[in-house]
Amino acid sequence: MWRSTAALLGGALAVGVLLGWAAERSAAQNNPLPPGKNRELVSGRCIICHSLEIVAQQRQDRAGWDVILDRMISYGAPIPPEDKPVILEYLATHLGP
Amino acid sequence: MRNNYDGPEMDPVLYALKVDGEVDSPLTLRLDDLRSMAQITQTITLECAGNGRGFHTPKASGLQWENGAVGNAVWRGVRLADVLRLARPRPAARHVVPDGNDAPPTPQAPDFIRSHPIWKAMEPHTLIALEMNGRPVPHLHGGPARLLVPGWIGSASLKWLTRLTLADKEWGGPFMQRSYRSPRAEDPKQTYSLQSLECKSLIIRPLDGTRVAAGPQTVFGFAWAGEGTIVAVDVSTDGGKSWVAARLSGDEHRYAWRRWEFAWDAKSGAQTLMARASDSLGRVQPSSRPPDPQGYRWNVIHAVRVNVA
Repeated sequence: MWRSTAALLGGALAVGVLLGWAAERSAAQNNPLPPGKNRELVSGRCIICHSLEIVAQQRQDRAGWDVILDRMISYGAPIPPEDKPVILEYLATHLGP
Repeated sequence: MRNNYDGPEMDPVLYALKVDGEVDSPLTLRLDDLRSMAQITQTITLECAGNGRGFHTPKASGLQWENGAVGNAVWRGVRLADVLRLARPRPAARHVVPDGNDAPPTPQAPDFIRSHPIWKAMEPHTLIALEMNGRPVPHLHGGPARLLVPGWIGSASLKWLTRLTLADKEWGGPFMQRSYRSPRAEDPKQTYSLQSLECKSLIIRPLDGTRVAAGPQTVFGFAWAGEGTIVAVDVSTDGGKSWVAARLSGDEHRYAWRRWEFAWDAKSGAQTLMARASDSLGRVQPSSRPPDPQGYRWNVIHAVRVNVA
C-alpha cells in the first residue's frame, strides 16, 4: 500500500514539476518585451502595476522614456535609483522610435 | 473597454453616493434612492480620447489603439442635475468633482479624478446611469452607477461613481492637468483640457484588407461628432479626388453615432474607399492631424483598401 501511495505521490510530484516548468517556459515565451540584456529586470518592475503589452507597444526615444520612467517612479513604481539607468538603457535600446 | 484603474465589484445593497462640497445640504443616496427618481433613457456613443492613438506620428505614448475604442449603448438613469439640485449647490459651485470606487496600484499613484464645469454637469443629457441596454450596468461598464457625460471624451464618464463634490475650481490633479490635454493650435506649447469628441466616421464594411466581389454592394459605417451632430458623410472611391454623399440611414439620437450607407459599384482591382464626416459645428474630418504627444482624438479621414475580384 505505502509503495503505491509513494509511487502516486512521486508521480504527482513529477507532473507538478513538469507543469511548473512548462508554465515558467511559456511565461518566458509569452513575454511581449523584446529579448535583450535586463529584460527580466524590466519585466519584473513594470508588471507590478500594469501589463507588459502596454510597454511593448510604445516607441520612444531616450528622452521620451526618461519622462515616462520619472512619472512611473513618482506614481510609486518600485524602482530603486540604481535600477533606473539600467531600465532606461533597455527601453531606449529595444523600444526606440 | 478601458479603465485607468480597476476596482472591486460593488454590492448594490451597500452602494452609497455622497454629494458634498459647495452645497447647503450634503447628502448620501442609496441605489434605491436613485431608482426612485425620474429616469431617462438615451442612446449614447462613448469613445476613448486615445482611440486611434496608434496612427499618430510621431509616436504618441499610451495604449496604441487603432479603431476599436468606441461603442454605442442605450443608457438609463437619473439626470445628474436632479441629484445635484437635491443638495442645493451654492453660488460658488462652478465645477463637479466626481470620484469612483477604483484604486491605483500603489498608494503614491494619483486617484483617477477629472472634474467637469457645472454647465455640462447640469445639462439635461448628463446622466448617472443605472442601466445599460436594459439591464443593471455591469461591473465592467462601471456599475452599479456611473457617470455619462455624453459627447465628451470617454474618461469624462467616470465608472463606479461614489462621490460628487462641488467645488469653486477645476480639479488640480494630474488626470486633469497633465493627461487628457492637447496642444493649442495657436501655441502648441500651451495645452487645453479635452471636452468634446471630434467629428469622425469609420467604414465598417468592407473591412480593410479584405477581398470583395465585383459589382453593386452596400458600403456602410458609423459617424459621430461629440457636441455636434452629423450633417453629412461623403465617400470617395478615387483616393479623395471626388466625393459623393452617403445616405444617413440610421436613427438620429443626440450624442449617438449615426449609421450611413453608400451604394458602390465595385470595379475589379485594388480599390480604396474613404469616408469623410461633417457636423453641425462646421467641422469636417481632416486629411492629417498636427502632432499630439499624448495622441488624442484621432479623426483623420478613414480609408480602407480592398481587392475587388
